[in-house]
Amino acid sequence: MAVAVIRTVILYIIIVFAVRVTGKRQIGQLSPTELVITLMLSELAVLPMEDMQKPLLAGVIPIFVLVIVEFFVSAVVLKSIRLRRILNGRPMPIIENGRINQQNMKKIKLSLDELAEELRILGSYDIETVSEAVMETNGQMSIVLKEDYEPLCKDNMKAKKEERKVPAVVISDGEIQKEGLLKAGIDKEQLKSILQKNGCSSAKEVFYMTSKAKNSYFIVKKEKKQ
Amino acid sequence: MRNIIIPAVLFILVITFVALNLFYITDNASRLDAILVSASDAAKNGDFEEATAEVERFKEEFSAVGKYLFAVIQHNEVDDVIFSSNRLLALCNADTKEQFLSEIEVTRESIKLIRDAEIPYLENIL
Repeated sequence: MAVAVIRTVILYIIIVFAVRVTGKRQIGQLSPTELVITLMLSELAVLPMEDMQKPLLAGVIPIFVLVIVEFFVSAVVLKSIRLRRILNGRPMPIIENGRINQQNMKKIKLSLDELAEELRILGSYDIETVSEAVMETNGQMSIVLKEDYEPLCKDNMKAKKEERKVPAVVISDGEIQKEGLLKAGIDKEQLKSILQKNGCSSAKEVFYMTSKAKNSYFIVKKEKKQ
Repeated sequence: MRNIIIPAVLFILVITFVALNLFYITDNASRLDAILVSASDAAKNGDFEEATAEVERFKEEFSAVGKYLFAVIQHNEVDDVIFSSNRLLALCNADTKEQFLSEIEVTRESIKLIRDAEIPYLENIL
C-alpha cells in the first residue's frame, strides 16, 4: 500500500512534468501528434501504478522517450511545411463564398447538424450569414461573416482610436501583486490611501483590484463571512 | 485556507491508513513466521504432534489475517499461503520430516514476500 502511494505520487509528478513540457493546450486544441502523445502518456502512467509487479522504470522510461520524440517531432514540424501537412493535415474550407462545400464535409465526416452547432458556438445562428468557414487542423472551426452581418467596429465607423491596455492586477484575493503595483505606477503608501478612500483598511479586505489608467481603479471587496 | 485543509486532512487519513496497514501486515507476518519456526523446531525434534498443533494454529491465525489481506494485496499471494498451509498439514499427518521442513521454508518465504512487498524499500518503489 505504501509502495502504491509513493509510486502514484512519483508518476503524478512525472506526468505533470511531461504534459507541462510538451505544451499546455487543451484536448480540443491538440494537434494529432499531441493527442496521440497525451493518450499514450496516460496509458503508460497507469500500468506501473496499478500493477506493482511492473517496475516503475517500465512506465517512466517510455514516458521520457515520448516526451523526447514529441520535442523532436515538433521541432521538425516547425521547420518542414511538408511534414506539418502530413502529420497535422491542412485547414479544410467548409463554406466558401457563402456556399457549403459538401465534398469537404464528406471528407472530414462533418454532418450538417455538427456544422450548425459549430457555427452557433461561434455566434452565428444562421448559415446564410457566413461567408467563409474553415475547419482548422486542431479540430476547431473559424469563420468570417458576410460583410452585411459583420459587427460594427471603430475602423469601419472611422472613429477615433485610443490605445487600449490590459488592466494591471494590483490585488488578487487579498494579496498585493508587486508586478501589478509596478505596472499601475503606484507604491504601497499610495495603494493604502486609495484603499482607504474606497472604504478598505487593508489589502486583506480586497478580493480583486485592477488599475486601467492613472486614478482609474476597479475594486471588488471580499464578501464578509456569514 | 479551507480549500487546503480538506485535501490535507484526506491526505493525512490516507497516510495514516497506509502506516497502520504497514504496521498490521509486518506485525502479523512476524507473528505467523514465529509460529512456523516453532512448528519447524518441533518437527526437527520429531514431535509431529506439536508440529501439527502449531500448523493448525498458523492456519487459524492466517485465516483471520487473510480476510484483511484479500482486501489489500494481490489474491494469489494469499492463496499461495493457504495452499501451502494445507500441504503442511497433510505432510504433518504423513510424518514426512524432510518434505515438511522444506514446505515450511516455502510458506515462510511466502509470508516474507507479503511483508517485504509492503515495506517502501527503494527496490519495491522502482
